[in-house]
Amino acid sequence: MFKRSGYHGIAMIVDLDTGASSLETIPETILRQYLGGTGLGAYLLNKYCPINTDPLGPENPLIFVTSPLVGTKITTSSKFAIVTKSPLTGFIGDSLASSYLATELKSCGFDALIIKGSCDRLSVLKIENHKIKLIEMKELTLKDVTDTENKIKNTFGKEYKVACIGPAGENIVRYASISSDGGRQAGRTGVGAVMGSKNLKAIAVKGSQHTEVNDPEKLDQIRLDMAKKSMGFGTEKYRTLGTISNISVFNRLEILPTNNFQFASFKGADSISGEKLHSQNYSGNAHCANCTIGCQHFMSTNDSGESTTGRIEYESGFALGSLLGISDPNMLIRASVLCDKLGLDTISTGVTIAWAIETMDRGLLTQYSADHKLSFGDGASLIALIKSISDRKGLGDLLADGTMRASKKIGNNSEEWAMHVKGLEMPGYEPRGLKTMALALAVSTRGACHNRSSAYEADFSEKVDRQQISEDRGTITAQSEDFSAIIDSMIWCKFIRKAFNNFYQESVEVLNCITGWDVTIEELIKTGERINNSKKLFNIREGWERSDDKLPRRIFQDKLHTDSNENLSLSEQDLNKMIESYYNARDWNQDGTIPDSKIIELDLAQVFNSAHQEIQ
Amino acid sequence: MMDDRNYKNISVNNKSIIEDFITIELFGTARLLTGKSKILLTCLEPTNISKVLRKLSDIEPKLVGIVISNDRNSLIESFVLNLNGDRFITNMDEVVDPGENVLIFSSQSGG
Repeated sequence: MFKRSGYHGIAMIVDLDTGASSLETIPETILRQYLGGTGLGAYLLNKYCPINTDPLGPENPLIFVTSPLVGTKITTSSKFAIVTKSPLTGFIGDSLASSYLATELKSCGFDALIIKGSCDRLSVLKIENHKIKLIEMKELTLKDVTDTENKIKNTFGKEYKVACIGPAGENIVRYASISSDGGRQAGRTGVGAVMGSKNLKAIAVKGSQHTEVNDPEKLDQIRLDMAKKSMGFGTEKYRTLGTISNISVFNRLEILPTNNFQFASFKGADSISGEKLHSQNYSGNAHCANCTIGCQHFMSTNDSGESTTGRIEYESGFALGSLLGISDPNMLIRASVLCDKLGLDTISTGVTIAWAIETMDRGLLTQYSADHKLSFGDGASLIALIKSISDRKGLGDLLADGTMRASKKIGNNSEEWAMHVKGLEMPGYEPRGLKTMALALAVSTRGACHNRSSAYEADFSEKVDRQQISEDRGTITAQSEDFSAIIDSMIWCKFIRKAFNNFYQESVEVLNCITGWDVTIEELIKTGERINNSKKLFNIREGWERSDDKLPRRIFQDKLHTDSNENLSLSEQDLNKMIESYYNARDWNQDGTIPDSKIIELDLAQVFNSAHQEIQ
Repeated sequence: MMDDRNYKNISVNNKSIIEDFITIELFGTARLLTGKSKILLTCLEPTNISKVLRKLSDIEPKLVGIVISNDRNSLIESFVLNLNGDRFITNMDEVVDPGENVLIFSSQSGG
């Protein structure tokens, strides 16, 4: 069997229908072309997911992928990707998490775990190296992620690492997440719903297999260098306040989505800002697996209600705070922690609730108003509504399918204020004030995603005028996506990206040190491009059309009410110009499809041929 | 130097007093260190970023070495400057006029 330093060269395939498993070789050419993480995951999804499969059906594979960095103890390297067909978008769904599960999965002796089929009854997949066992555990039914993980460890042994779903995943809420390491969430695109559709409550993993490193001495030096860099200039924000510090900055720049994207600054922002939370609610910080940065900042409630402590990130602060008009930090903490426990993506949860509030304000959803009195700024009903989403009860059942489906069902033009792209709810970046980010949100293969490019970085620099469009936005966005694809496939944590002096140069050195390859910077850049094209190919075969690259109608119709600039807006025409520039930058056809020449150039024939006619 | 009071409505002889100041707005670490979100610097004529930072260093020396560089002419790499919420500035000779706002926050923009 193939073996290359940094890899096992194997995918483990588990069929939940039969309880059987098999091992398949991953060729070295594929490992070199896709690396690991979301890149290798995109390749494997194209290969193992049948065309037009139901995302919540047994044929949709749930794929866990590690990377060559996992197990090396380089700072931030203990990460894994989950890749599947998203039940929110119907396109590629992927999510990353930092957790010791990554190192344990790799210690089992494979680079990817592909789970197909479904269990008859709620079960846990126990994996020890190459041995698997499906165990029915109905006592875990509707347990939250904390109870689930503890119960499994008490049953199997504390050395097991667990990834699990909460009640939201079991009830197949379309934006359910998968949790590991006591609350590290693979949050976006509904990976937890796919796991729930398989009646799979958790995987429990224990391994003992070693992965070779080509140059162990050089790796030791790299570990030291990266640890030192991780404590330097490029990570200051994450170490001191964490991402929640974005609240006050975004509010000042008038790009903080408020009241369902009706406004871009929030009168209550100071109360839920990172600075205020640190002074009044702070209870300490923590490091995730193999990480020296320590970006997890925990906040505790300080009112007379039940004491709650949880990690608050910017996206939760926006989605459950300003977006809902909520300025009570204790309510924000409780809502965020509840989402984590139930296994819900906080972004999709908040954006969907924001849609519900506005829809009810407009006189729709009256059939639910007896049970839920919703209004912006009123947190009283928020906790109950989050629980009802997880339970799929009443209004919660409607909202559990996300804004795209809920608004289609309700009609009455409610789709105009359903803030999603391709079905994935929008993150906390106001597109009308961040024009590069607007483009990235519209074209991302994942839907409205802030993570699969770092396009906002251009808007936060001298490079561009964030409030005006320009011809170079397409190139900037494409390059940013390719850069992020390498980060997500090697897998580095995004928070370390500014610690590099030269990201591509240093990544090539790390990769070659681990694997013994002779990868060049040019090859690595091409790899990023290949990975993004692979994702696009999957989407095209699953029915993507040009009209899917867009932003919600509100973005074009409503001028942004700001204190400083009344005319802040984005026209559909301007967005389409930028999209055109993006397709050009990618050498794609005018309709956004990928020409044969690009497929041949990037050696994508294998991926393409999994769905279409043969490319020679 | 004025600090975090509600200065917006102050006027002298019908002229807004804010026009005679440069407002420095602090976020993140800078705010935590100083305990202030805004600092007003008296400024009756155009100046530049470098001089603004020198003045700020005089008023809040604890920022030096953590937010402002040790030579007090620029920011440490972890931080960026934005003028009036509109433009990001890296040139320390950039002119700043009275009445303008200089924002200092983290250079790591993600979340």
